Amino acid sequence: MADITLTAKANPPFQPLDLREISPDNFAGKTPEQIASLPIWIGNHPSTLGAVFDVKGETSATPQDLTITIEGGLPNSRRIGAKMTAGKIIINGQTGIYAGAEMKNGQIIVNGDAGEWAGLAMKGGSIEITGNAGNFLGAAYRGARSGMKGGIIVVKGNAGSEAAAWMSGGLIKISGDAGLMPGIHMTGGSILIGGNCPGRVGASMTGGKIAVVGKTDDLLAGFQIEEIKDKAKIENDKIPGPFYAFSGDNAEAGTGKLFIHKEKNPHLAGYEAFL
Amino acid sequence: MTPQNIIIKNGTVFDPVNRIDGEVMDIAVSNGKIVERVNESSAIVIDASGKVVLAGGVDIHSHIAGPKVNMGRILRPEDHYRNLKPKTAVKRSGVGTSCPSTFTTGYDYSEMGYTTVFEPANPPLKMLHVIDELNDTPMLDKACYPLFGNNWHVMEYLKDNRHDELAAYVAWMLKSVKGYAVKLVNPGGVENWKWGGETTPLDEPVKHFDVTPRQIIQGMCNAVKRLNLPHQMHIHANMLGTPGNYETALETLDSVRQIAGANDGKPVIHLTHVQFNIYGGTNWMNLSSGAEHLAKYINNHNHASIDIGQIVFSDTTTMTADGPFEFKLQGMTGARWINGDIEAETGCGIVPIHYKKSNYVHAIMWITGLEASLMIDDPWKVCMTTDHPNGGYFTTYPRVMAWLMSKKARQKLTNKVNKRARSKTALESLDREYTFSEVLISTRAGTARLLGLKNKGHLGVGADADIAIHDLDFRKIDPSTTPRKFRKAMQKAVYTIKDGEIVVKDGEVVKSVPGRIYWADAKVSDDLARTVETDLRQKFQDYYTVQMSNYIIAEKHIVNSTPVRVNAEV
Repeated sequence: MADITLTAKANPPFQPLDLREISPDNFAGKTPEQIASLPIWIGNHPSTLGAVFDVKGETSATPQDLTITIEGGLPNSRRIGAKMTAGKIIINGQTGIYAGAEMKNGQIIVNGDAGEWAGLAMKGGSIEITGNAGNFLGAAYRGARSGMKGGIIVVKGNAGSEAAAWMSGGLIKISGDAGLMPGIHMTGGSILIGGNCPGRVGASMTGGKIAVVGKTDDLLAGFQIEEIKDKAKIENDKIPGPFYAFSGDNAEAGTGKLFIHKEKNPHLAGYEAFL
Repeated sequence: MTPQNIIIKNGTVFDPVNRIDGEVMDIAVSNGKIVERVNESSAIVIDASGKVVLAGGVDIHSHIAGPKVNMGRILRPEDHYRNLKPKTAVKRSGVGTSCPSTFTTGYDYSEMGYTTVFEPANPPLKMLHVIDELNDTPMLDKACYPLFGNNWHVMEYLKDNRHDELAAYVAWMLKSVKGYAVKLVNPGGVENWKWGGETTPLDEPVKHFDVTPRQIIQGMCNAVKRLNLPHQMHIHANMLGTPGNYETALETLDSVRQIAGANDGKPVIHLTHVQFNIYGGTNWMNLSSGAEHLAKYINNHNHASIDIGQIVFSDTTTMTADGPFEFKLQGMTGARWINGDIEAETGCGIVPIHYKKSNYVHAIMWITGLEASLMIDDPWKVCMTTDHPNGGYFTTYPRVMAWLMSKKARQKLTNKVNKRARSKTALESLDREYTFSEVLISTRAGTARLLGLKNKGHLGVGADADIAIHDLDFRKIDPSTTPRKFRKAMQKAVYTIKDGEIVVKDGEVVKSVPGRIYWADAKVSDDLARTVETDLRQKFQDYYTVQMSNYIIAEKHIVNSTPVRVNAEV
């Protein structure tokens, strides 16, 4: 195992920082000096990693054994760990948008908040966010019709709106609350929302599973109640219920499954008449 | 800066116009033209041994600029996400594949060895936008074809049988908005649809105008012929994208046969992206290829030329002035849609599409395009296009070339397409493989001839020095058996020379040049011009939201304006 630490310098630039070079795939086999000279963009100006970070430690020959630790929050950073295929990135602090975009394998741990589009269209690997995640967690890019295909995203805090848009596989676990429209257009995969969700869960979903353990204010008209279940099975976890089990979204002739906690949502009791 | 003299030594030259087929020879360039010889001591010497030297590519039909391309850009952010091109010392940054930014369009074409690209469908009212974008599309010579197929003035002149005035109006229009050729898109059909009607076959009158699509086609074809325009009428036929529409396509071609004259002289009609227009079957479930019917017709007649509009399995954007077709398409695919209505002139629609091998209809489309290319014997009548971006991006041209040149490449993909589609096709029985010269005819020599560009598409003395050099050694690469290597070689030019300047080296742009914009200036008699202008002044008052004086685009707006002057017969 090899560790390399990037420590953000004091007074970092305020412009967007394109840090797509930060991934074990790019760092493997390079010396700290070589890493410091990797190209980045600060706003519209090309620069090097060394301009923003102090690079210390040593790297391994292969990305599998490499752990990159980033010290210091950079809310204006972009694309850390994008397209990574192996290894581990630990971010101690806040990170910006597109963290782990299109990653294929490996692990990203954010000890802090993540910005919008964390895990954009990811294919595999895992992302753990101890703080809050922004909007479009694990979603498709704007306009694209394929989102997250595999892998796991775990958020300990809250997530923003449109989490898992166009998701077709993998798992997203949000311990806190989710924003509007989690799982919009999803065709497969699973979402577990531990907290509350203001509504429109699973809009236009045609497949996959969503479980809401907390309260949701409204339910879209495209969902029909199927049964009341004691437990909801999300991947390998059995979540204790009871849950209202819905299927939908009928607006799209969908066969997605939606589990809404029964006791936290007494306003949905009217659906029981249709059982 | 004056372009320097260049001498390209020992290249394997292919030039179908001058019947040079793989001869090792030198090409000399001076002052932007190809010349007999130059003084070697003062010239840049390019060693092209083991490489092919070709005329720069000429694309007859590629949607690269204008309001609909721009709406495509707005509609498809995910398209920009795919192809990020950072700026270099000479290049500006850009993005996009199916609707790339203007600069990227120019660079990508040039890096592929293309030097001339014509933008084929522009609402005259929005032409200033088109010109602005073409000004910003570097590396290429360009021109655009304004739309006339659903133009109110055209239909009114035809209704009143005023054919001289119609021709003069077309001349006025091309001159005013700086168009090069006449384009008809679903003549009459778009206008009919705008009034709530259906898109029509050839003999149903257009609502409120009482002329039929057939009359529009014949009238416009006649007008183009009498104006002596450099390019014949360029038509996107009625009933596009409808099962069984090959009959309409053939009727369209046949409706103007008389106009060509008894000896079937110069072509008078160019049927564009025929792949979308030659389906058999009666519905989408039993859709089939009607390529053999078209091929039979084209093989027996000389008044028509076509381009293919081959589809490539990819995620792309359809954009056309055929509003009703796009309306149907968004209904079928459920994809998002932009519709545009250009007052008194035309319509427009944009819908993203993902062509999939597993899809029966898409597989038939792919097969239809290739069948048409292979069944028509004379390559001078067939231009290779993908109708960028409707069938696929222009950057996939080398792939299409490889399919044409290699049965192996076709077979490899045929094995992967929808099985039911495969069982219904004659593609696997077609053994023809294009020769390299035939590919060059359908990508540059033939297209240049059809566009009336005498100085392009060949390497004879006096031609524009638009040259592409590709790393293709036919002693080592046989396109038939190693199509992938051929494709790679055609994807990036080793050198592209534009007007005598080296603009691409080793597949990278090294110099940015603006390129010209061609437009047709047809001289009609003064009396007729005055009559039409008086007419139009009234019609602009009646029909348009703009004044006539604001409609006309001044030549000063155009970078390297290059009028092509012709004398009309009216």
